Amino acid sequence: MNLSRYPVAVLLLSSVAVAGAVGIQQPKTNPDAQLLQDFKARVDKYMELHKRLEKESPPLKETKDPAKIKASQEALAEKIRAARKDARQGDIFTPEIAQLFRRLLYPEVKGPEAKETKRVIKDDAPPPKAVPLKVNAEYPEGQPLPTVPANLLAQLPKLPEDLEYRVVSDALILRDVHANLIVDFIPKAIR
Amino acid sequence: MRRRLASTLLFLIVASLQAQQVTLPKKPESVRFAIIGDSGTGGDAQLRVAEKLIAAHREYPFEFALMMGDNLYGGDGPTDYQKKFERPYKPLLDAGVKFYAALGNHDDPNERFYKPFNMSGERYYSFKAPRGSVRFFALDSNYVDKDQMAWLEKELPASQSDWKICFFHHPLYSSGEKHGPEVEIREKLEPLFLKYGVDVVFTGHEHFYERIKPQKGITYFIQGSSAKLRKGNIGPSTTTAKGFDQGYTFMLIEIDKDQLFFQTISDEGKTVDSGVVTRRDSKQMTER
Repeated sequence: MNLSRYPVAVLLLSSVAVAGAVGIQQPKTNPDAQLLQDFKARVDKYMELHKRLEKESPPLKETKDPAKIKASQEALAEKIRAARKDARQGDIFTPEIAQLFRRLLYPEVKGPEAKETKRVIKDDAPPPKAVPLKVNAEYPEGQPLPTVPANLLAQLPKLPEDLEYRVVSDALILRDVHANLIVDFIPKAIR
Repeated sequence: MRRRLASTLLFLIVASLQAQQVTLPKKPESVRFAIIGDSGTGGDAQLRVAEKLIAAHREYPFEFALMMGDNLYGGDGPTDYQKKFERPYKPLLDAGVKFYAALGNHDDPNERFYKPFNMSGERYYSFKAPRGSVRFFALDSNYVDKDQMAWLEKELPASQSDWKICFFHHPLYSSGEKHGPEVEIREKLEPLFLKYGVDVVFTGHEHFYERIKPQKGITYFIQGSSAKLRKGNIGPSTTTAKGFDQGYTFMLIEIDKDQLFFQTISDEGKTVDSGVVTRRDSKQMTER
């Protein structure tokens, strides 16, 4: 395993190593690893809410009737919006977490693979401003969902099944797949 | 005058039937399927291709069809499913043809819950052909994350099928001047395809038809012009075995034992490519 390709794994391993070396009484962790743990905790908290509200919404399961898919999506989106009416950009991607993510992505958008990475991001991307960068906004129906370059995904922490990263223009979006909502975003993530 | 008109009409009908002739071997017990890609516009071109596909089904009753993604362009409300999928392919759906979809960059991942796409609620999945030793792996090339890679790394070697066929949206090799090959995804997927004996890969995304010369023994097809066309977009390339960017197309496939026969037909009913791919012996390949 080439660890340099998996910075998140390196960060987590180094945090364990440091904690092991100093013993239990003085648990010191790599600050980046702490930020990743903080990110995970925030994502987990969001998913708790998502799952609770999902139970109160029409189920999203295989159906011949596309109206049921849409109804499930819209009902969940409405409930999440109501429950997170005060949510703001940065609630999940705090400034510190956002900075870490930018750093994790930097080698892929400035290194030898940068040209190809940026080409993939721009390929069939939605027109400028077609996707509102706003927490709780719906990802606009009919707009393409830009492909996330595999090398970028490899740099980022794993997400639960119902959340995904998307890159729109230079922003990294955290998108709720079932509800089709923008949960949070990092502006200027791709520089 | 009337006689001349009648004979002209007769000629046109006969010519059209001849042009659409399916030349696949139609061997007993073979696996028969069709391929469409980038099909979900609901426009005239999709309908024209669908008509030819339906006509081909009468002559060559394939049991299922693979969809290379961009199954629904634009909106994805209930009427979109009707206009861009159910209506164009109704005779096929009524005849029991099963469609298996992959997700394109214009598809909402929630399409995976639409039963007629047979995705079992998953972004990536596999299924076995109704007969023969053939397994298909549908991937989500929009989002090649660690989970999907781990799934593929587990599923490919677990399959004992002679034929392992992958399909997804983005082409790993392409001579398209608009998009081109997806090199980053290729770096992830190709080693697994080689390691576990994938022989054929079908993709879309580019709005034309292209057959790539075998790359490390794997044959790649792009079938992304079943409703959209980017005329003249195939650029000069040493990897193209056959390209067609002057009309809309679909593919018919027949697998018999170690041979995969293919025929690519245009919306004018003309065969634009055909041939046969012989399965590599994956054991031999590994031992070399």
